[in-house]
Amino acid sequence: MVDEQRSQHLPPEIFVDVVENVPVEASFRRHLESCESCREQLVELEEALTFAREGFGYGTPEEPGVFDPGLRQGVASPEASRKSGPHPYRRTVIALATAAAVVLGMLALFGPAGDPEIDAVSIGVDYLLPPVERDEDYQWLVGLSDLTEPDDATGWDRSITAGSPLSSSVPDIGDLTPAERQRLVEQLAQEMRTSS
Amino acid sequence: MANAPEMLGSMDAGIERLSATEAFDQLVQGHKGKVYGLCYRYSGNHADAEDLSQETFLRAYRGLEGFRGDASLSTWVYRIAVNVCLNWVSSRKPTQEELPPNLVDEGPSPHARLGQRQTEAAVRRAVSRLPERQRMTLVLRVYQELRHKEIADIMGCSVGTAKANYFFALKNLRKMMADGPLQPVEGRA
Repeated sequence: MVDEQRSQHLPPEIFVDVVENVPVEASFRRHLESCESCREQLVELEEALTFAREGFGYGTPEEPGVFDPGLRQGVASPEASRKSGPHPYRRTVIALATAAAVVLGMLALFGPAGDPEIDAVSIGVDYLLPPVERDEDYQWLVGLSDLTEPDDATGWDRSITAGSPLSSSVPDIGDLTPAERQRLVEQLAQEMRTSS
Repeated sequence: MANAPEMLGSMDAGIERLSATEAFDQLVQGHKGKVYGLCYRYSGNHADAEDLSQETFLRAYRGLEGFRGDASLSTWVYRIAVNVCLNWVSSRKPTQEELPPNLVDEGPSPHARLGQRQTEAAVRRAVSRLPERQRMTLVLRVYQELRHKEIADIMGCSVGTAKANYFFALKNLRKMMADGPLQPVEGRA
C-alpha cells in the first residue's frame, strides 16, 4: 500500500526534505531513482531555491537605527499601556468589590430593610444607644430625652453615686445629730489612743 | 506557565523593574533585526518595512500581558509580524513595481553586476507575486532561516502544511522565472 502510493509521485514535504538533505525513508529514495518526473521536479526545486537566495542575496538589510520617536511616546501613553495595570483577575475582583460596596450602600440608604420611616441618622443613633422603646412620633428625641429628663421621667439613675457598691442604708456623717457626732468622735479618739 | 515579564526576564533579569518605555526598548532591541528583515523581505522596500516593524512592536508591547509563554517570545513576535504583514498586503492595492531603487552594487564585472541585478530584480518581482502564505513561508525559510517547525508555529499550521507551502512557493517561483513575463500565480496559500 505504501509502496503503491510512492510509486505515483513523492509528496511535497518529501521533496522539501530531499532538497534540504534531510534523510528520508528508503522507499522514497528508491522511487526517486526510478521516477524521471520526480527527478525533474527535484531539479526545478533546487533551481528555484538558488533563484530565491539570489533575490535577496546581499545580506541582512540595514536595520533602522532609531524607530520613530512618536512610537516610544505612544508606548508610554495611557492608551498603549492600558493593559499594564493590575492583572485582569485582580481588576475583576476590584470591580466586583466596588460594585458590591455600592449596592450595599444603596440598600442601606434606600433599601427595604428596616422601618421605612427611619432615616439614616436615626439608624446610626439606634446602633450607638442602648435599645429603648421608640416613640413612633419622637423616635429621634428618645435618646436625647433619656439624657435630659429627670430620673423619675426615664427611670434611669443618673446620680454620681449610680453604680456605687455602698448601700443607701449606710448613714452619711452629715446625717448624724450633734450628740451622735460627739459620741463618734470620742469613740475614734479612744481607738487611736489604744492603737498607739 | 511563564508570563510575559518572566519571558522578558530571561533576556534581562531586571525587566520587571523597567519602565514602560524601557521595557519596550528591550523588546525592540532583542528582536528588531529579525522583524525588520522579515518585513523588508516581505514588503520589498525600506519605507514599508519600517512601518510594518513599528506596527509589529507596538502590537507586541500592547499584547505583552496576553503572552502566555506557550511559544518562545521570538516565535510570538514573529507571529505578530507575520499577521501585520499579511494584513498590510490585504489592505493595499497591488502595485506593478515594488522593487527598491538601489539594488546591490557588487560583482566581479559590470557585465556580471548587470546580470546579477537583473536576476535579483526578476526574483524579487516573482516573490512579490506569490500567494501570501507561500510568500511568507518562503521568506521565513530562505531569508530568515527558520526551521519548518518554527514556521509552522508562527503560521499556525502543521509542519506538513508549512513544508507544502514552501514546496509550492518554490515551484511557482521557478515557473515564473522560466516563463519570463511575470503573471500572478494561482496556488495554494
